Amino acid sequence: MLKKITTALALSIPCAIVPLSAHAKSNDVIVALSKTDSLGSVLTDSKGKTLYVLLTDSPKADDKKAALAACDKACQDKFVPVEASERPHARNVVQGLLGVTKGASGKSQATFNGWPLYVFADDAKAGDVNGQGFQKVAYVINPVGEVNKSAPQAPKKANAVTKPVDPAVMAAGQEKYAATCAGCHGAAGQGAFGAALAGFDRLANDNAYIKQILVGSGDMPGFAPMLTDADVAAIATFTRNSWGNTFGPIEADQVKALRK
Amino acid sequence: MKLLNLILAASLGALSATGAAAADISKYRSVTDKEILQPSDADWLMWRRTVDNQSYSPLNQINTKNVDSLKMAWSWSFPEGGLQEAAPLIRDGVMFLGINRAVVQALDATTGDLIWEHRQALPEFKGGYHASQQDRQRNNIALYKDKVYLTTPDAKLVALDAKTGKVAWETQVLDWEKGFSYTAGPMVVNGKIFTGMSGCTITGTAGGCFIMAHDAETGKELWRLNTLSDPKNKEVEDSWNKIPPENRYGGSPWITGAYDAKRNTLYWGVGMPIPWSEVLRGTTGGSALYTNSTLAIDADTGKVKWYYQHLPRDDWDLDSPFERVLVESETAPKAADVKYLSKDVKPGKKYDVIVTVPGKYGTTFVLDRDTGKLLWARDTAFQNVITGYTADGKAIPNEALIAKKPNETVKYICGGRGLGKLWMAGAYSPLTQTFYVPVSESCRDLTPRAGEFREGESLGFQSSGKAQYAPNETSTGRIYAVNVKTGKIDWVQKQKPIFSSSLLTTAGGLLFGGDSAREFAAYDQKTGKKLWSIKLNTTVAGFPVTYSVDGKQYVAVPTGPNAQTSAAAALDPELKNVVDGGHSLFVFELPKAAK
Repeated sequence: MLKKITTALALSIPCAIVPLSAHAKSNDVIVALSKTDSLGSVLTDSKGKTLYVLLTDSPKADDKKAALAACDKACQDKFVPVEASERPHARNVVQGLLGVTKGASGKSQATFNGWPLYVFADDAKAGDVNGQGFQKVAYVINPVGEVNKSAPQAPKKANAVTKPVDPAVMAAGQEKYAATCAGCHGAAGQGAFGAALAGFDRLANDNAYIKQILVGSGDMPGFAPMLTDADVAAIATFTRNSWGNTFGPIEADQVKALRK
Repeated sequence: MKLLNLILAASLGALSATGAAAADISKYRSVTDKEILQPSDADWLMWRRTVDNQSYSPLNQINTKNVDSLKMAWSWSFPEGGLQEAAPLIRDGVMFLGINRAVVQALDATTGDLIWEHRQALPEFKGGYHASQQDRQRNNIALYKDKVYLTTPDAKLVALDAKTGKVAWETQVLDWEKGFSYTAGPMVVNGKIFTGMSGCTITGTAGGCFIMAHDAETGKELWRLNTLSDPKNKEVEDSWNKIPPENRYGGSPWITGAYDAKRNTLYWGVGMPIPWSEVLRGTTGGSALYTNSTLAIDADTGKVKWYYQHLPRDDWDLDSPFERVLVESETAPKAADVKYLSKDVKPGKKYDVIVTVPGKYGTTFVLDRDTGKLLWARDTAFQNVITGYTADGKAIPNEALIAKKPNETVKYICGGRGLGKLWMAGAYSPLTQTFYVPVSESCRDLTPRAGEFREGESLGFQSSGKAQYAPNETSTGRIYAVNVKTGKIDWVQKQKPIFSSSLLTTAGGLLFGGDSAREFAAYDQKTGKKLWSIKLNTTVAGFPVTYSVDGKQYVAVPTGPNAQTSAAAALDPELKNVVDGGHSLFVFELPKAAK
């Protein structure tokens, strides 16, 4: 079944003002980035329909075997391969993760980070994620190329109350920050070599910020080997609640969960 | 602000009251086209003094014989913090300072007394790229006719009246909200303002990064050259492994270029491709033109006459935008003294060449200005990213160090990512036919890590390990004296602190430069012997310059934090013992008796 795709999805990133269709040929297969309330960032096709990966395609033999046992032909038929003859056209996703492969159906299929992509027959409209966790075989894939196996979340309340901040954790965080972070980010979070942390909205994203500290990016090294979970939590709590920032605390358990 | 206004008012009052307390700005002479190409010995009209980027001053009052008696003439606090990359300019005894956050000051160059200040209104940047870039504005001004031209972090060109600092006109060059930003300053020649855009690592800038020309009178755009796409050049389009132009990033030409009047040609460097590793960029196997290239550009049309790519398939953010220095010299190294030597090089023949250490990995390239051919190349710091050259002089990247899949760590990449060559520019001396260049020598592990595209943020997508010393080294700070005629390194200054300022050469046989441990020093160009040094208040920074007023020579140098010091301090904690503040300008002179 060939998917005919002619219209482009309006992207959720406001700065991407060039419409996808402006450069895409009419037969291009388009992969787009979309934000869902229930599963965070996901990939979609040009109509906004959520894209899934199937563990029946897993490179891990055990996962693949289990998936094939759990998902019979009727189950597999609910997932329609995104057919593509060459690397799909996409904006605002990592180009190097896009590709094509000969899919299980035998036809050339679009891939992301090596995973063949599918749409789910029971998703009716943009934003539907009805295929998530189907038979424990189908999952969305995030723009970093990770299979996201979490259950869809209810949307957060708009004015969720941030948890109180423990002054002892703040004090510990201040000390660790001065010793570890201030060299680049400034004693008052004003930034220098590193990004300014005062007033930096991105610190509000718990997991992204914890991972940034653990793994690093660009010229910022990962601090996972040097800092304990409690250290990372204390530093993150301190920076998220200093210099006018009011993003609430980070717990050591959150850090632990993100260590690999 | 109010205080500054008061100071300004007081200064202007003093000026009009006595007429002698400060340089008489009312007599400011318009900078002519001729002077741009051949400035008065006393002046320093642009970034590297002359359009060839040599940073060589013909002044010789201060020289190898008397430099040890230098003393401070005056000093001055910069009104803004951040990283210190300022380049003071001097015209007729007036010093112009282009400062972070697009502040410009005019000072009396003999006393430091403030004549005027311009404070550009900037958007409120909320974190991210622009918030840091406004605090690391480099050589952000140039002098031409009766104007001071300013580039701003929100991608504007501003023309100020040189006598008053009042805005004559300003123009929004590109949309900063997409990510575009100016970090380097303009070059103004023959009625045209030439600039290179920064910020093309940011999500919204997809599809192009630009070298541009604007009319110096009106600010009207004359041409733009896209560093990431050239539909008329198949080589360029074929080098991106079918990544369409609207998905290409990087190629920021973020250092001011050079101008060759005889050829009416600009020589401009282009930065690295984005994301940093090709497995995420999607360009596997492709060289990603014009990234990491020197472009020879027709100054009237913006057309590329030729390109030379210094580092194809950059997988390590090693960039190649740094200063292109134009030199006329014999250049005929022995094959054994260099890594590549063109068979066309003729001993005894004078060449018009470009000498450059374009990228963080420190290799020196000498290119023929007419053809773009590589005449010779050699390494300075230890590097392992270029394995060699083809017979016709194309650099060959080290495939073994190119990451093959996401999250795969490639170990010990030597080429100083984060701690190699950076904006700190080298200087050439015609006395020794030598290019002196500061490079930090180090290695690092790098890991491609895919990320989500977010508005206003960089798409580098690579994490780095801690900086490490190069093999068998225990320090990272270097000045290399690369002899353009022989290809030999005549001397190298090795030390733990990094060389954190640009360099300056003078007809007095001197080389000036400063380091991250507060030392500002003068070296003998011939031998590298340190003839004079002084400890200043903090990291020595920006661009040391020299100038003369009423027959008296001065040497000026800024201080303030450098982007490499954190990485250097990770190698050697002793290097942390400097206070990262105190942004200042120090000016030196000879004592009266020694004059």
